[in-house]
Amino acid sequence: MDFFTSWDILGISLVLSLRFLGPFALGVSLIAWAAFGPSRSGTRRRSSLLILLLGVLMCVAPVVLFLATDILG
Amino acid sequence: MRRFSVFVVGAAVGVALLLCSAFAGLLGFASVEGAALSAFLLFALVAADVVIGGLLARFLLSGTGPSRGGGRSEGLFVGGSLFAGAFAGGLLLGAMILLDTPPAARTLYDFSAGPGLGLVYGMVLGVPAVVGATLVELRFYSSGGDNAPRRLS
Repeated sequence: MDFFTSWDILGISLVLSLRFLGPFALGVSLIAWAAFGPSRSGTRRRSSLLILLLGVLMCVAPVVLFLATDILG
Repeated sequence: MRRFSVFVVGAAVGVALLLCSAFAGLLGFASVEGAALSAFLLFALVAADVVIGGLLARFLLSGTGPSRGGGRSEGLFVGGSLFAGAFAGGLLLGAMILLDTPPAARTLYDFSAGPGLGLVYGMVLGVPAVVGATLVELRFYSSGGDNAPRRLS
């Protein structure tokens, strides 16, 4: 059977993609909300900066963890 | 009619994003470089998901009159359409897995793979679309576009 027509391999690929896709979805959503959300002044601006940093961390974390496990493991 | 077309397009985009995620994940099987390329493609898919959600909401809001603008949450509608598409794609994938497996070898995992993946991917792909569409909706109402009522102070 051809590799690309094997449907269970596509399912396994979907499961393995979630380790990147899940954090990316949350991180990009946080970044978009912090960058383009309704702008307010004062403490809200500081909290939006924290949300932006959290989003960047969510996007970077799976890549760093994957590379770290590849190097150390 | 506009809402129906937005739902159909959103569902089609949800199926397409599910399949693109599956094929992008296949690149990560080969090597570390392939995994890095796979991660980059998945990031691009999520970013495109936000943009597509915003575009669909903008298209949905462009025909909104002053009497219809108020209490509807178009962001949830757009995200729900992508959720429905990804869930339908997962069901299709599960059906193909079942048909690809001999009846004697079918286990609980074979039956639950499609609906489970569809639900998870519906949520994962729906959230960025909801965020993008809600951002566009908030900006639309705050700028008073198409005579819509103002919702932000």
